[in-house]
Amino acid sequence: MASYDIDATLEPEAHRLSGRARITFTNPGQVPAYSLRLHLYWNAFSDTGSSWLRQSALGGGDADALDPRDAGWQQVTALRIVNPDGSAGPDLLGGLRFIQPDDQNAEDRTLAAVDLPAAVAPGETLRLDVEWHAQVPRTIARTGVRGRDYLVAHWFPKLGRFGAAGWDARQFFANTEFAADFGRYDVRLTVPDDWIVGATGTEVSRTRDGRGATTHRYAQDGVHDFAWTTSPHYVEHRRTFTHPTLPSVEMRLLLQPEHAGQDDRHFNATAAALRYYGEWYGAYPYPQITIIDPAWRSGFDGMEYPTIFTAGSRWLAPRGTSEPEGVTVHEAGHQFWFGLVSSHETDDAWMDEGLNTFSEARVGSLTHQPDYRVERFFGGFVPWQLRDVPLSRATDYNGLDGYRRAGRGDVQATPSFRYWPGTHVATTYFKTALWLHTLERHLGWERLQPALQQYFAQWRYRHPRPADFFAALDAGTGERLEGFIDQVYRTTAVFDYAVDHLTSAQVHTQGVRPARLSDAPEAIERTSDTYRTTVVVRRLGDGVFPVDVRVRFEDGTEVREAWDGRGAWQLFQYERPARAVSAEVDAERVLLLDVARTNNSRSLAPRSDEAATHWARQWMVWLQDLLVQMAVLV
Amino acid sequence: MTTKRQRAAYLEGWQRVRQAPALVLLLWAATLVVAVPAAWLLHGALAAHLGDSLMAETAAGGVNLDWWTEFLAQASGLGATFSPRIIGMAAVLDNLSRLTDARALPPVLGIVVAAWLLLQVCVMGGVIERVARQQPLGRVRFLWACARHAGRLVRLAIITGAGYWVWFAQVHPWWFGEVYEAAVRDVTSERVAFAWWLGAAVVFAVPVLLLNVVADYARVRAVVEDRRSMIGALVAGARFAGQARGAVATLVLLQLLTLAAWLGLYALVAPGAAAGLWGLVVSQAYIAGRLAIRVSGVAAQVSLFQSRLAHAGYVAHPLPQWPDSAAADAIRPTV
Repeated sequence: MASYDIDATLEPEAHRLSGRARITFTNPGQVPAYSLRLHLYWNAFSDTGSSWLRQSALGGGDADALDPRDAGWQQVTALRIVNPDGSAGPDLLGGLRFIQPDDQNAEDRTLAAVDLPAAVAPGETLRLDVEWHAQVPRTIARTGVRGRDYLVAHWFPKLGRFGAAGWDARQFFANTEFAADFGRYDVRLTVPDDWIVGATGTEVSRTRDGRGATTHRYAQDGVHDFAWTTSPHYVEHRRTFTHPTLPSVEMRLLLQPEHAGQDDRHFNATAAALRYYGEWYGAYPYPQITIIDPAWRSGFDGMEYPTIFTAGSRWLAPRGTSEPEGVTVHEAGHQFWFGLVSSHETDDAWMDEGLNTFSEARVGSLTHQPDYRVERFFGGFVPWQLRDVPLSRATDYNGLDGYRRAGRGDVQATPSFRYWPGTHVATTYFKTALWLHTLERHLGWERLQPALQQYFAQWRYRHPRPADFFAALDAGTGERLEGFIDQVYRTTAVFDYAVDHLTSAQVHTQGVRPARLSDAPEAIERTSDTYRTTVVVRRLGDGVFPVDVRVRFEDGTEVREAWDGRGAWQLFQYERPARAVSAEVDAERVLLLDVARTNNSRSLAPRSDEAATHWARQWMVWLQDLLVQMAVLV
Repeated sequence: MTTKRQRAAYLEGWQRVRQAPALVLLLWAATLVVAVPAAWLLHGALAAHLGDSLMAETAAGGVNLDWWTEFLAQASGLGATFSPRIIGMAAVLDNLSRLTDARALPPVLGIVVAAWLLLQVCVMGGVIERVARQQPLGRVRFLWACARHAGRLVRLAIITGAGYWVWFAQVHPWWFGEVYEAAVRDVTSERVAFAWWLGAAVVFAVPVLLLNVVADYARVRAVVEDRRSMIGALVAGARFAGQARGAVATLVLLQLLTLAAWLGLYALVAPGAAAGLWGLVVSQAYIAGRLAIRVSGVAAQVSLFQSRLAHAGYVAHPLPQWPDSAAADAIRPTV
């Protein structure tokens, strides 16, 4: 348990923040705490030597170009134990040092440690007073300021998470987010008068000091982080989520003025998440949820904090697309997978991001439909909706294309902060969504949903690890899923089944054969009325999954076969009165992890030439248009 | 007076296109000459990827995004340009946007476009000659005109191409990457940022347009006045555009408005992904229309230039007159 009582003051023109906090830490582990760990996340943005910026550069970011005007940092100016009687105890500031347990990068200053004069035994409580000041970075990693729009997140000296065996705190990396203990937050934020504030929890009071500043007090129990936003620009909207069996929730939307008219879309998407996640997994227990609509290019888009999240929309956001709905459902959904079931985001990011992508996709398929692909032109400002291109849950929402391109990027069991930065999204988000959706199709939602519900109930307000999730899946579905989990979680196995061969012809017998056993063989040649159909199905990937094979015949009949998918190939042969038309492996498309769907089927009357002609013709018009356009240059 | 003359030039441009529809047909056919082989290559790649798959069933009549993304994941060369942006009006926006955003062409496509531009340069001499003379040239004389001016116009294209390259490859990244980005550094409204972007685009486009106009009139003067020095033609083109700036600007505006109207019309009727042969007919009509606008623009420029000369329809060099062949003499009745 770690609770925080914080006073913070923002100097908006200088982008400075100062604060003091009293931290109450109760050792939740099974071993004494001999030291403390403090996260100072904003130091990741102080210089290009930080592990965050170095990792970002590996993923394609420009880490060599941090403008000093954009830098952010935190400096602890006081750190002292509070005696049980409330008086000042030992000063710890002198012993505070930066540590780099994860990558030994001596230049990284995002994690600090300090030895305690006396250990904190399991169940014992320690109180600390800490003071700090900070430079708010220009928006990066979903925190900071752009113009006068602030999102102030991972902003205060924060204790690491204390696990059963001791401190479980990591440096700050670009791939991953945060992990902390649950507690109570009581925070007083002083900002200029008339600036709108949104924060974790509910607003308890608002006090003007008469000198142009207002202090907003927010409080919340049972959360593991506190984030806030302030801006003079927001337009505030409120609506109440109601449901026959779930508790009511006050939804507060802080909308950008230029997105006027999009309030319904934000509220509907948030309500959809509260409804479906609530019905499938468990109720959202807090009385309020705050939706931040981030400013253009603020870099705040799509980030979750307890009871508050940022969505993301555009000035021109055509209806019939999932912007802002998709990101809104996703971040609202994180209130469940992250906010309540608080898995370790630094080590097991897939547990909240992947499970949440799976859930978001499921909600999306039930709510914001139809959802058409949008292309943006002219500097990315002008949208064009492709009404011929509807998006689907199984492929688009689950990110199949991203996974296909980076399926072997990393073993999912690798600690997430060590994933290759260029492909971590595919491993964290898409792969998980795809394997969970595969399980849903394999087992049925009626078996998977109770398992997830049970997992949610069991691990709400706690910190599960992967083994806990897998155990919950086994218990909830009544199925031993170890073989499948091993492949998707502990290897980079890729699944690819294909129909390798399909022929179907009248049975024709030719050669020599004796009429009777004692006779000499004589030439025979006969053609039967039946057709021999031969199907060979192959496993081209290293992943193994049971698949069905469907063979269709000209007379409208079909045969379905089950194959355990283990061998390199499997032969099926039939002699039937009708010729085969097609063969398809995984015809019901259960195995969504299959990276090459095109080779899953074969037809004896293929239309590929027709399709290729159709699309080559369309492409030709595009090319002609390009040529005509370029011609004006000569 | 000026407005009247510009309107007359604009209408005269269309009148000359009406007199020479074969020019539009020729250019349209030229787009096919370049585009069909490329499309055939793509056809092969698409057909090979689909193989005998049932995925072709849906792809044959519309979008199968599942197959499409799978194809793109392994595609290279021309295949990599086969994105959903090619559908209907999105294709037009994609190409226009490619110009404003200075998106480079993939190398293979760059070769295709370069071949097309070379073809264009070679044909343009004949086109200008035809609309300048306002009389049919016949196949042979048209080809002769093309050949006569091709070398000069290639030289002109190299000079202007260097100007475009500097502007798009060197100035564009700086203008939109640094200047525009600095301007919107603290802008938090997308609407405001878009206004900035539009402003930046207009400022960026003005020199492009100026270069384009000067090059257009340089081409016109090179052909009509039978100029050999292309630097001289450029100077002459610039001088003409400067002296008749009101007329030239109005003509450009009228041509841009015509193009915008044509694009707007196409946006309403652009065939979708499922369109069959009828869709192809509509698309080709759109392409032909754009070419007609292009030729009418050239003809209007010629007309405007000729209207400033001593007599309209002036073309410096005479049309070639080939003597009758000796064989004709042989069969001529003896007098």
